[in-house]
Order: sequence, then structure tokens, then C-alpha cells
Amino acid sequence: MKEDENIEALFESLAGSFDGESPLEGHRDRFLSRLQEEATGRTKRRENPWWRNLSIAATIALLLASSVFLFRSEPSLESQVAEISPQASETTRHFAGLVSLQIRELEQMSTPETKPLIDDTLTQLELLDTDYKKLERDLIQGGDSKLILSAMITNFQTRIDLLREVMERVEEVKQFKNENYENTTI
Amino acid sequence: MSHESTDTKVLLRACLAGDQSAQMKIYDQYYRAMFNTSLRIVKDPAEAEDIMQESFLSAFTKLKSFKGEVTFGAWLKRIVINNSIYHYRKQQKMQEVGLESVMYKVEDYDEAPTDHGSTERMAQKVLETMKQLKNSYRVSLTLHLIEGYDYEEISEIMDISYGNCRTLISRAKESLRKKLTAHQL
Repeated sequence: MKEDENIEALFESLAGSFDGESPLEGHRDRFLSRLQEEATGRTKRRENPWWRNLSIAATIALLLASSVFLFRSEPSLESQVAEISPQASETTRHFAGLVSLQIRELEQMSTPETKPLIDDTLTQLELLDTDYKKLERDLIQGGDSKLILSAMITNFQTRIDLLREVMERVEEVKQFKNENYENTTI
Repeated sequence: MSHESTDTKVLLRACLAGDQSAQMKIYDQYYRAMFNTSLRIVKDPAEAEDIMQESFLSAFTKLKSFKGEVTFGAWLKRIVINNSIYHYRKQQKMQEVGLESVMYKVEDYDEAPTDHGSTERMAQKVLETMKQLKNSYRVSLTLHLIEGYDYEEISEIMDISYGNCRTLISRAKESLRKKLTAHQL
């Protein structure tokens, strides 16, 4: 206990000296422009630092470029969908990126305890993907586009919900394990 | 202790009305403390800046709900801490903070100018040592010893039980004490 008090005393004596770091140069301007952005109603969320947005943009550009090369000879399912509804293909790309990111995350979390759960999830996702491809084909063949498009979105939403739920489960399993081993968790 | 200086009160009223120069003055007054608070939790300076600025923006939009029961600084700090914890959890999940980045950062701090007073130097060394602790130890100690929250508040912020919180902090202290002795501080 005495040592505890030493630590407390040390921090007390240093109180007020802990704020030694400063943000990078230009932070004030960056804030001012965010403030103005907010004020003009363009309340675009900028949760990511700028370089992350840039890397996302670069990835999309790369994907676009590579898809142009890959599918130039024969219009792919995707590009045919894009012709029918550019918005749908835009949304698809966004969701697909999100889903594949989360899948990768999930795969990293795989442990012997969670492997069955994760493997089953991946199978379910594949099934959903097959469904999606079917919907895309229906769309090209001229089905009720409104209905099909909303089914496509629901399909992706289901995948994301599934992924999120599984991740929570995996986290729970992990936590439970930690608790058993050391009786302290965060 | 919930009495703001009149200056701050006047500024806050102007902020509520959407006065941008008043908002910038409040920013200038608090950014440093808020940046450091966030940095101690998330470790990454770019992320800490983003969280700090985001917190200011949301504080300005939520300013109507600020009743003055605590100081504006304490109210703002709680927003910063909640946002930082949120990001910290995300980091934990994505394991974004690899060993390398931690090692680089420690190097950076070694090179930092150390011509402040000895208290500042000491504080810096303590912070460096804290960075070598387990993440949960670092965060709980930061909240307890630097931000001055009690167990109850910390268990709420970190979303753990009161008992777990006590154990965590006492283990964290023990671990920090060992590290400090090893570094002869």
C-alpha cells in the first residue's frame, strides 16, 4: 500500500506537467476549416484523417482501372449492372469493400475456439453472394428493377449485419477466455 | 469549483450563438489539454488530433445541453475521453497499433527537446514508461492518476465492473511501479 501512495504522490507532484505534446503544425487551420464546413451545413463526417480518405480513393481508382483492363473484351455482370443503374453499382462497390474488409478482420480473429463459427459465417456469406449474383442476372434480363435493386441492398445489409453479429460473438468468446485465464478483463 | 471565469462564460454564450471567432478562442484555450488527454489514450498523434477536433465540434453543437454543473473544461474533457475510448476500442479490435509504431514513437520522444524544467522532464519520462505498459493498464492509469477520475467513473468510462476496475488499477500501479524502479525514476 505504501508503494501505491508513492505512485500517487509522484503523480501529484507532476500534476499539470503532463500536457507536453502539441498537435502537428496547422491544426488550427484544419480546425477552422472543419468549423466552417459545419457552419455552411456541409456536415460531412471527417472521422478519418485525410490520408486515409486518400488511400480509399486510390484503392477505388485502382479497382476501377484494373476492372477496365480485365473486362474490356467482355462486359462483365458488374459493368452491365452499372449501365442499368450507375447508382447501384456505386453502392455495390462501397458495400463490397466494407464486407471484404470485415471478412479479413474476422479471419484475423480466428482462434481454435471460434474457428467453427467463423467458417460457418464464411459459408453463409458465400451463399448470400450467390444469391446476389442471381439478382444481378435478373436485373440485366430486365426484371422489376426497383424490387431487385432493393433486394440487392438488403442482401448486402444482411451480410454486414451477419458479420457484425459474428464479430461480437467472437469478441465475447475471447473475453470469456481471458476472464477464465486471468480474471481481469477490459 | 464549477465557476467559470466571466470571460469563458461570455465566450460560451457567443459560441452558442454560432460565433466562429468565439469558438476559435475556446479552441485555443483548451486544445492543448484535450489533445494530450486523447493522445495518452489512443497514442497516435494524427488520431488524437482528429478526435480532439471532432470533440470540439460536437461540444459546440451540444452546447445547449451544458448546464454548468461542472466546468466547461471538465465537460469537454469527458467528451474527449469518451471519443478516445471509442477509438481505443476500435484500435484494439483492429490491432492497428503494431509493435513497430510503438517502438518508433518511443524513439521520437527520446529525441524530443528536454530543455524544460525537471518536472516536465520527469513527467515525460513517466508518460514514456506508461506507454510500455499493457494498453488497459495505460488507459486506466491515465484516467485515474492524471485525469483524476475515481473508480466508479472509470468503470463507467471503460465499461467494466467496479471490482474489475479496482483490480485493474491496482495491478497497473504495481506494474508501473516496477517499471519505474527499473528505470531508476
